[in-house]
Amino acid sequence: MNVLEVEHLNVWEERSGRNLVRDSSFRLAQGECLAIVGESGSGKSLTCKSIMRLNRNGIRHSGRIALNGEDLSILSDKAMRRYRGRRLCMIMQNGMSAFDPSRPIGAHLQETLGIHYDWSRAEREAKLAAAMIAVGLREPAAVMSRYPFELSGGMLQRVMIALALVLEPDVIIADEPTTALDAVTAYEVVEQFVRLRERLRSAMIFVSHDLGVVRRIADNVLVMKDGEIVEQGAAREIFSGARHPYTRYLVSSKETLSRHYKWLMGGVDVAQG
Amino acid sequence: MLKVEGVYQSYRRSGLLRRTNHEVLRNIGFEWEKGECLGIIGESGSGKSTLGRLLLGIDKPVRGSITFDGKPIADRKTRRGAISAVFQDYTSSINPFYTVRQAILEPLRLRKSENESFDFGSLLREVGLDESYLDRYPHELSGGEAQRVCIARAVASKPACILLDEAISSLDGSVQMQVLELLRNLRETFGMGYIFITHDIQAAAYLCDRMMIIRGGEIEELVRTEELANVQSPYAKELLRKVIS
Repeated sequence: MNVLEVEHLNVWEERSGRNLVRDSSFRLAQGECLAIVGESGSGKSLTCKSIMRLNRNGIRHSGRIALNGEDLSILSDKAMRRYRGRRLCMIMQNGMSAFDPSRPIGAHLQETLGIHYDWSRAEREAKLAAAMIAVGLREPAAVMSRYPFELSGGMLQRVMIALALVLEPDVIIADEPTTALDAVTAYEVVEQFVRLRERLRSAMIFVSHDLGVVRRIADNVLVMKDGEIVEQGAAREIFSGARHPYTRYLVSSKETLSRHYKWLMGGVDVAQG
Repeated sequence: MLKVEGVYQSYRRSGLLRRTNHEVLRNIGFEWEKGECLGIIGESGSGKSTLGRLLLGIDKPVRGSITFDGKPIADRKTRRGAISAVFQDYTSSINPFYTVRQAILEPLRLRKSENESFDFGSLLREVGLDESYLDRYPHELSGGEAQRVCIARAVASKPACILLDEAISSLDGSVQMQVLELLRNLRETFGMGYIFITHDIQAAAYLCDRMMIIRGGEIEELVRTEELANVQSPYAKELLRKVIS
């Protein structure tokens, strides 16, 4: 059963008519994690935003996007709003701009949950606190009373993952969630994503240009270049025998670094995927 | 040779009722030899960028001394031709009203050596670009290209040392690799040394001769890269284990 089906997605700039994503089709099965990789400007984020219908003004898209067989493009903006968060949950790259800067984190989370579920305030708080502890935020009450600028990038990323845990969406879309983090924090956040998948069993789209992270988390990989899908397949196959020269180039530049590192560390056990 | 001895740095934090001193660096001491590539590794907030600013002389430590060939780094004359820098944010590193040609000439003009007929072509080819880039403006360059221009600018004055503060962190994976290769090649061609500040341990291990692991403003461990597998402190071990390869 495919949770999400994207068929012939085209994204273009209205003013210039420039094509940004061309004829992109892929599907996401229940519980699957699909990674979208590619350089900046290859159309990864545009694809995600088109699914969420969050593209900024002046960017248009066409094609069929179906969630559990239901065509999302015929939904009104109001109906689509109810889907965002509850059914399709997006985790952004920059936590600092993903939260309302003028209110404490807790107020924002309460509001989001209040829209989607008719739980009492105490219920919402209890669920949030449990989720925060699950993602390694040890003092949920303190975190909820803080403003976004008072938390580090890694903590904000965890708060977003905690919110996804409570919302239990059908599809989670994570757009470069580790790119703005330092290596150690990125490692911990990736571990949280792995556990999030285990717990919710929801499908996930994971956008990244870091192939190390992709190898750790993804079942399938979709490679984009200049707005087109150049290759898609099982993660293992992409890493061992990519067909497209561009994919091979991406994989080999990552391999050079990690092989050198492993050689230095004398083959001792480093985090592997 | 760059010598750092007993360096402390702190910033005053003004609160509503009292002022507190926030200590960023504590008792930092190490030496950098000419031609060496030294990696400074740490998490965000560990003080590595603050240390970078001190090494460049754009900030002064509250205690301790930093000298280059025996002369204080805070003196502009010491720095001239000795050390230059490449920063993380390539978009704000080049004056947006300057073309690539003007950007590269900027440090040379400050040294009053711009009259020397300067071979832009070979310099740009050295960083993987060519003459056609000379009249472009920064906004016409991709991230990788802009960072290459920044590197070319740093190389132009032929310094003994280039300090790279997270210079590859905001580039895409494959472009990161190209820039790392470029830095390796430049080192062979010009014989310059690097101070490579980063949180990317794999990249540092690829480029550096020695690695300094810094935590909470203090040096946790300083090892030769070949000895990286034998780090002693528990923190360094954990840091190296948490590398997603």
